[in-house]
Amino acid sequence: MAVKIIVITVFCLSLIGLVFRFVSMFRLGSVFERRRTTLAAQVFQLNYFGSLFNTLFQVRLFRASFLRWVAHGLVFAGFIYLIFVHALDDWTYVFFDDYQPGIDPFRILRNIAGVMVTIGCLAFLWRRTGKSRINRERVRRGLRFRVRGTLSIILILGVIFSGFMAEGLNIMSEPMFDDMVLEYSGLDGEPELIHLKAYWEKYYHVSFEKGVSGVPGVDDVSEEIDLEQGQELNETYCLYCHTLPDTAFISAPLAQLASPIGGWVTQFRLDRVMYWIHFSLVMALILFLPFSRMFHLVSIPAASAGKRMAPEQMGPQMGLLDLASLSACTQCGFCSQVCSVYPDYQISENPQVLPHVKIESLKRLAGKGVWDLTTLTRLRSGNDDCTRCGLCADICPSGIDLVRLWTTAGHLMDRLGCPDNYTAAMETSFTQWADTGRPGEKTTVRAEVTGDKASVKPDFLTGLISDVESFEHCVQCTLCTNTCPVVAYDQVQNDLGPHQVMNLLRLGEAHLASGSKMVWHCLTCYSCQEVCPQSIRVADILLELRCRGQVRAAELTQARLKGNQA
Amino acid sequence: MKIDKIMHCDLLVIGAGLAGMTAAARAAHKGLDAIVAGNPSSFAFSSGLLDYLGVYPAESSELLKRPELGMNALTSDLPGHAYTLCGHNKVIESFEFVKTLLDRAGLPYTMHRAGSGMENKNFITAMGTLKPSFMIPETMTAGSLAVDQEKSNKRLLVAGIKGLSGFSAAQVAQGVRKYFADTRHVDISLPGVATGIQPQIMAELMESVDIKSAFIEQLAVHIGDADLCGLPGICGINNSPAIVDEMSTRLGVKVFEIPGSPPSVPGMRMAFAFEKVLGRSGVRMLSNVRIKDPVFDGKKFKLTAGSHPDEITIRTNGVILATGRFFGNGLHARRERIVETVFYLNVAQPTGRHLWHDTKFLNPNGHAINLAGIETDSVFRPLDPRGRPVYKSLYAVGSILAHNDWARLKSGAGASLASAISAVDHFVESGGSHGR
Repeated sequence: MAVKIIVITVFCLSLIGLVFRFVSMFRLGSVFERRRTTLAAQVFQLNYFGSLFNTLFQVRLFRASFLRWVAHGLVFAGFIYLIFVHALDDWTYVFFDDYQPGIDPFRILRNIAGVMVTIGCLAFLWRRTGKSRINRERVRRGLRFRVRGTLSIILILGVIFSGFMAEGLNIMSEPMFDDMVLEYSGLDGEPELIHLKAYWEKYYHVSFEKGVSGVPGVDDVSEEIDLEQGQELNETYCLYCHTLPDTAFISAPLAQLASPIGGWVTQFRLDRVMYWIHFSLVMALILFLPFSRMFHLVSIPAASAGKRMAPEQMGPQMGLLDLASLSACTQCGFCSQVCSVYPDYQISENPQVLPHVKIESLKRLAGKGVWDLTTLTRLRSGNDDCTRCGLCADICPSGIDLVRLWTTAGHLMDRLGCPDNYTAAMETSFTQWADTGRPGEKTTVRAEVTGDKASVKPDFLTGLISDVESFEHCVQCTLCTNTCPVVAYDQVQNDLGPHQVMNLLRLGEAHLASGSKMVWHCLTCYSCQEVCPQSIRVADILLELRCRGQVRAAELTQARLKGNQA
Repeated sequence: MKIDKIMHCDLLVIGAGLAGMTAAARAAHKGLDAIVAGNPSSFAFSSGLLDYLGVYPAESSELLKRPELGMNALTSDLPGHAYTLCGHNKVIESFEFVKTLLDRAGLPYTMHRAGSGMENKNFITAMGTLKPSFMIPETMTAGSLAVDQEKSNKRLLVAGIKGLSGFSAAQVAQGVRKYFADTRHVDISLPGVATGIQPQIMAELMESVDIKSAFIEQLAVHIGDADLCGLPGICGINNSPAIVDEMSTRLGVKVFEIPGSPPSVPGMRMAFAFEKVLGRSGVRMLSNVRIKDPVFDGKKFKLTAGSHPDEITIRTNGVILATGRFFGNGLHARRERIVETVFYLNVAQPTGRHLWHDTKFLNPNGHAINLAGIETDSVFRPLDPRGRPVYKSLYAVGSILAHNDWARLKSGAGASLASAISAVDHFVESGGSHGR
């Protein structure tokens, strides 16, 4: 009875927590703009089948990474089995013929499930140590994650371990044996009991503190014992519910290991204690579900039910931040492994280019409003770098419509009065752009834009500007300028031709070049690079310059926002 | 992302300049499966006119009217020269081949017959000077016919465009004054054209009906009694003959183009024409890739194209090296030695760096480095130091060849065409395409 009350209470509390999470989420979601489409209209458009499919089989995770799908699948499948067949056996026994926790196959399956969950969780923990070198792309890109959810994993491991322990102690527990004998056989106090005890001590690993005779000091009863009779009694009274425990391949050895403390088990009823520990941990897991990493159990089905939406389809939903999706992010980092503007991050070293960082910042932005101008401008800058190519949304195992998030984020930051970098660059004169503060004043920008900080390793796509070899062969033949569609489109608006930008680089004015309109207008059509007789990677260089310019532009934006605030 | 790709072909042409393009076109014409790897931008540095032999001997200041007459002397003077190796008839055949080719791509050229042979014609340059050439774009022919005879009775109007870089109508008019009865010049200002517009962009603009009409209308005001009208070479890129014709019709005078300084639109027209023709013939083009790491296994070449991370392996029966000289990166001048950059072939060159250049920049005898290059046998196969072909199916053609001071002899195009076509023909005759 008490158990039921506790369980029901915990479930209610957990439900209240879930409701609280969702309500606060929807409240935050409409911070910026009032909800214009009705909820019902949205509900009917959902992709229920896809959501169910993804939730049950994690198909998206499978596509993203097989290894991680295996680890996650072990935990998921094991846990589902344990919940359905083991934890809820009071209700689910009707589905099975002769369900008893103590007989096979239920006993061995329970152990297998426990081992599966344990292996998966250990794999999760191993990944969180950062020592896993399995994911080559992640290592190559040098991505670091603040992986959270360790507590949830430890909690799950605790549940499993305490479960094994509880089963083990149950197996060896003498009082438990006595209780069962009392309840299910008429042998209590009968002399035949000794045979059954002996049989159970031998085959069922029960640890009788005072020997099978039950009388201290009278150990030598071996001649009286008839194991065959014990077996008969076992078949009569016990076998319906208890097959040999050796199939509990984890718990049974644990029981044997624990036999030296058999006395304590009897004395303090450690088996009961362990059961309650197991029970409490499960309750804790349920209770914390809405506020821990476990929340993704609920949020991922919600997120993967959404249909992908192109920016032009969004219309009035543009201002609606989809917080259910935001909280479905588990920071797994697949998005940043495939992000096509990753080189921008290498060049500008603005972590807000990376999708998994942007999501975190967006969450904070939604929760706290503008808390930090630097992060805001950098988020704006990183978000504007995004080409909406959709690779992140394609791979996201949670099924978050990331492209939609980025579009919304841009819209929201417009609303917050944070202009984009392009505007900042266009509304700045060359002198302002090149301004590095008062003489002697140490500014970060110049160092960031022109310095060669090697924290992100340059590769094929980056490091061109700091490598004189990449542009020094320019002979100023103007072929690039001749072929440039931006130059052709508007002679008046554009300031320099690509060949002049190359010349600025040769003059050592990379910083100045990064502010030129040519750099910011470049379409990266690669015509210039195609025609260059000296095989200079003109377009790549322009792109790198723009990425460097992003840093300066973000700083200018920040200065402007500060000015507005003052 | 690494792309592992292998391409197979009969003939790989390294270099997409005049020689490379011609070789590829000839290979396609002969039914070979060819690949061109290179960068056609070198065309932008050519004038768009094709020379045979403008001056001979180099020291002479006279225009050589009949190239074949110079050829006789050249053959005995320069045994290693490309012309000596293939002979006058092959050169003319090559010119004819390319002329037909360009015709089909909508870029007609003219060669001038004189009696039984062909002759050079002078044309007007953007500097206001005259230069001889052999095969001239039709859009420029009217100008060279006009300056053919000393002091014609024609009246010339030179029209420039305000803001166009690299062309001054006044300078041209000043230079050619003595060949015409009357020479005037005018600068037309066009809507949307600011200062410093580049010729290619102007040529693209000229293809739009609005700009072209505005130009013609303004020019019509100034045409007056002129018989001829000279324009900078910006009358469109893809349909220049039609645009020049239209101008002639609407203005009522003969309009011709004056080729300008690089980057030159007539040169680019030729590049586009070649690309079109090659595309139609199924020649594959690897644009803007570098060929490196050649390996010959006794039967086939294996080469790598491109740079990390997109490298392509090419397997081919024959290779035509048309990588050009120093600007095209076919030759590279190290501190003490000139090297060939793909196969590290033997380069005929002066023995020391001090002999590369004469102390006088404008020495009429030229500079020794301009004669350096690859020496070949009579079918343009590069020779090793002992005078034997390095590979049986490796050819070197175009400006990379030794003993051709083409800038002074005005023999660049002819040598490129003739060597390219001779090499391909030999490759076909020796059964190169059947090794596959």
